[in-house]
Amino acid sequence: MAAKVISGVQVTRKVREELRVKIATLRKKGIAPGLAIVVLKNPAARVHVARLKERACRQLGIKCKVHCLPENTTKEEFIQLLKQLNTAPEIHGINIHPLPPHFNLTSVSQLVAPNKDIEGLHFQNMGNLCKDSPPLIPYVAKGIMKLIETTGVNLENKQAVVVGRSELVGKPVAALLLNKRVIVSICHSQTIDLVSFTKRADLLVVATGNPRLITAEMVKKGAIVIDVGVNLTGTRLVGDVDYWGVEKVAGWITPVPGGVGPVTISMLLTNLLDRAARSS
Amino acid sequence: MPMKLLNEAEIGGKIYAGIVAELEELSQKTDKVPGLGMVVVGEDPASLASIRCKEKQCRKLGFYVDIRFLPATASQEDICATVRQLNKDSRVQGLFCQLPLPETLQKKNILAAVDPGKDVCGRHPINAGKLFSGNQGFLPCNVYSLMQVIDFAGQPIRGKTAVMISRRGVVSRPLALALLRRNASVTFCPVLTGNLPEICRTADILVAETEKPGLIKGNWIKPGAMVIDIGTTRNNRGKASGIVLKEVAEVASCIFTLPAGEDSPLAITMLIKNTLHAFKQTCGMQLQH
Repeated sequence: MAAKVISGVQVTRKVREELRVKIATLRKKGIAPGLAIVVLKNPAARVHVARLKERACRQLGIKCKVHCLPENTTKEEFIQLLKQLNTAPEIHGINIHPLPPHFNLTSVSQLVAPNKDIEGLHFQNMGNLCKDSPPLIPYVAKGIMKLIETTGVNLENKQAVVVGRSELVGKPVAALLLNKRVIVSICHSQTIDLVSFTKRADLLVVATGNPRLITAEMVKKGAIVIDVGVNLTGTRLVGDVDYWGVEKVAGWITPVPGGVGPVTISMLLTNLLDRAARSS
Repeated sequence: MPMKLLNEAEIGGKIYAGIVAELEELSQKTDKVPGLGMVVVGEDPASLASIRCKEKQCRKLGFYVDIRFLPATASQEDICATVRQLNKDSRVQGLFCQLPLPETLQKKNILAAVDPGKDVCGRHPINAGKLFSGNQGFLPCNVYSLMQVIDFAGQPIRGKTAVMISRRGVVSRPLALALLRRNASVTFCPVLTGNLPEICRTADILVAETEKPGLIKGNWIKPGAMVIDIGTTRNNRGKASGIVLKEVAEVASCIFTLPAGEDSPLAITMLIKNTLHAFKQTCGMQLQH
């Protein structure tokens, strides 16, 4: 039997409704949430994603300013802009992810004021992630948890395997699952015998950036499979999971595109509204 | 293969010898000495004993020591002000507040007042965040000591599987992150499920931080695995071991039992080592872990 599809598009629609309610509540308190996006003009794909975020904000009535910087922007100019945004009272959250490789994302993220960090990449916010009730959850991880929730499957005492140990996805997802009393394994590029892990997984979260890394033989029957990968092969977007093979084995699966992607923007905005609510 | 019960004192002694050698080397390059600041609130006898012990160790090595005693009635603001003074004092490169703090105080706020660059106990959220993201920061002393023990035992980490049995993860969570940073695959069990034995048998490094005495049996152990018994201490009623030592000893390559509390001799040695790291950093020298 084919796996049930977890649709990020449907989940997003629901989350957006929740966002609308939150925004209305904030409005009554006289708070108009404001987002700043900093993006470098090249490659065009980044600007495209920024525009998608801007459009989502416009639809919801969130103030959004996209700072589109030329490709040859220096680190100093970048820092200068961040400093301005850090002190701007109308801005409640700053989004700088993703950055081009010549900017070290980890070090640049530390320049965002911790109380305007909505990505969850400031050390101070990451350090609190190991606590039982973290004040800020990295938005991609938050989206993944939302998708897992929609299956309605109780994962307590079950086994989850997270492939990839990034600070935006792998590690925060693992920490959040632990808080839900799920047994969690974290695997990565240095893991020997990945199959022996994935075969045991009732929940498999894959975020590695290797197209079609996970094949049908690697998946336990009936598992929930969350594919966070977005890889451009030729002109097509494919995930880290071999969708058409795995969907015959898995119980639930997220498609690429249309799975994790759409939810992440909504979750970024959820974090923004939380920040705005706390600003008063 | 002879079974090895790793000896805390022996490993501590080796680390200590390393510190002495490093200090020797440093004394040729600089006239400055490492400095450690300590803030003690109240008169809890155990805390005072621990502080005296730390002071003695530091003085023996020629460290500069600055101990600030505050009354149990001190407010959060008083304590933070003292911490800030030490933050600014360039003679002090390492700094910590002795725990436990009186319960009326917000521990979180006080720990966060310490300059992260001087936080040699690794308790500041920024250092926790650095560990989480895989960056270099101060490790909590207990976790740091366990990483050293694993290395001393000659247990490889890269590509190996570590399994942590722990409900709350006080030591295990940061340890898991430290092992992950060194390229281990890590499985974390916050619950005692039916297939726990099976999961344990995948472990090259098994870490037991469980409140259930004698939970882990001999046939749960992969032959040749390293076993770390953290146990738990509750209400100072002594320590419960999570493993059946006799059985496990027959299968494991080596076993290490973490001494109770944050003020064991080994943990104090790691505190000194972290202070030395902090000192070297301020001197512009490379930090090595």
